[in-house]
Amino acid sequence: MKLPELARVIRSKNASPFLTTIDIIFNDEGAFTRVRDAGVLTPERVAELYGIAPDQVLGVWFVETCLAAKVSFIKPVPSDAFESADLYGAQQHVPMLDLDIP
Amino acid sequence: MAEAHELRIYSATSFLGHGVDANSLRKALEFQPHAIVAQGTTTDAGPSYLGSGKPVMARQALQRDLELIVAAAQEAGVPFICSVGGAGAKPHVELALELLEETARRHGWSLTIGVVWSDVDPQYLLDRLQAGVVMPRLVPVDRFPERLDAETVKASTRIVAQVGPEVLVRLLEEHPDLDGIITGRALDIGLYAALPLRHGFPRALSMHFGKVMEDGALAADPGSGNDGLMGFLRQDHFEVVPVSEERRCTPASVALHAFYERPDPTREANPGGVLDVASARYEQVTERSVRVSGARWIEADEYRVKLEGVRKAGYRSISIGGVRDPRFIAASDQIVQDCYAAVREYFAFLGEGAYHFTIRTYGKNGVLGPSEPLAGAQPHEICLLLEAVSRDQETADSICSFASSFLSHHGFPGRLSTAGNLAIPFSPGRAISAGEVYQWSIWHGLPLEDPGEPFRVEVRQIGGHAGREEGKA
Repeated sequence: MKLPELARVIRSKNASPFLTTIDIIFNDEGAFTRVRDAGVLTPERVAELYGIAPDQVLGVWFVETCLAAKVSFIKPVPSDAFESADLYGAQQHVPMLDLDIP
Repeated sequence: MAEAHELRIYSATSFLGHGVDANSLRKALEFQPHAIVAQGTTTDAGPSYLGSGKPVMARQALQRDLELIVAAAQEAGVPFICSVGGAGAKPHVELALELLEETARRHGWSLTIGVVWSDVDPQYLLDRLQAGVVMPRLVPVDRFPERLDAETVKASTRIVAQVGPEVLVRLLEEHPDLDGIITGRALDIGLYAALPLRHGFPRALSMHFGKVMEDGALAADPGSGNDGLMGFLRQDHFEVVPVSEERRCTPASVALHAFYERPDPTREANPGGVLDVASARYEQVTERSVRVSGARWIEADEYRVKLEGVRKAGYRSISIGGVRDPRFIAASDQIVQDCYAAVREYFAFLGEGAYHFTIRTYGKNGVLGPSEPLAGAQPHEICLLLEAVSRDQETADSICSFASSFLSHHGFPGRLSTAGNLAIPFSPGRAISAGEVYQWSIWHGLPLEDPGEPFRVEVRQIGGHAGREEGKA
């Protein structure tokens, strides 16, 4: 199953011009637990999805009170760099849409 | 001095200039708020505004929102607290004061307001560096020196620091009759926490209150960027409710708001400490209101505000070309490489590092670049966005112009359309002057013994009889 089938919100945004943060809000407790316990949403997997080094991933958090997960990493290209194409970091959630959840 | 048994604050919008819902603002007055607060500074829109001095939001939008908020505050006889103008440097604050003056004269208001300027004098920083003060970078990005140095300060066009709540608390204490406060770049949370701190509410509660309130009705469901949120602070908790009946707060909407635009879901570094909301409780009280309690404040070793600085990186020119020809699209990766090579060769005379030239291929990987999962896709239409940044506008324009012409007339293998490869949408087309380009040069922490040290604070009259009393508050 792909991540979008289990989540009602998958969004990305800058947390400063140098960090991207991705919020995943799950449909319900079942979906939250399933993804958390599947062990596929990890810093290593995030690094792979975004083509960055694992030490650039600041963390992957599951927050039970919100039934949500947060992923934050250092942008491969800061939002004010000449190579940047996403000033607000608003489309950086897209690689997450393909994440397979067993 | 917990003199206020219950402290009520109205957060009027998510951002000054995004719009203020006038109906909600009117209804909010029925709750008898003790202050109306709105934030209006950000680094979200990029370094260009701090560099150029232009406001992030349109002048008219800023004036309209300020007018609504000040009118409501005047009617209720309570102060307003607003940070203004996007980047929040001197030209932005001056613009807001000019708009406020114009509005006040029109309404016949005579306002006594506190003004906090957030510009940091480069000489002040150089002196502090000379005195051995360590200003560490706040993100592990190679561009920034690990510790701010004199060279970086001197190379920066403009520098501001985030004004913390202590500066506002002091202003409110020393001038209890102010009609309002206008600040430049400020810590968003601090604007909403200032009055609670002044009334002796605990720091953890006050700062968490600020965090929930800072974006108005974005903490409600459905969220809104131009609607407000009413907050009620009591001894050991606070309660929030959107004024508009169309929205409600739920424990999830309030707790999730703490997520927004923050790298860490539970901990946030602030001047003087870390706000930790991991232990916070969110309880539904009425159908539309939520009670919040239990956040922690972890005191830091030193009080530090965030410095933000930019330097000029040149001038930008852009050019847009649409392509529908399947043969061009099939060969586009190679064609783009050919264009890079041609630009490199033709402009070699400018010398090493004299310009940056970039081609983005929208329709293929223009948005995600190397992170694009469908890198091999063959779209039926693409858009090439050419960008050149160089030392002056003319050089940048000439690079874009050359590249656009090259792409239009490039004889790639298999070409049938020998009259031109690009659909250029309008004129001027081959080079559109996009003006000055800035980049962040300073993103460091400034340790302070006195939270107000680098900031100029004044009390001034707006509208009525002009006059001015300068000095530190």
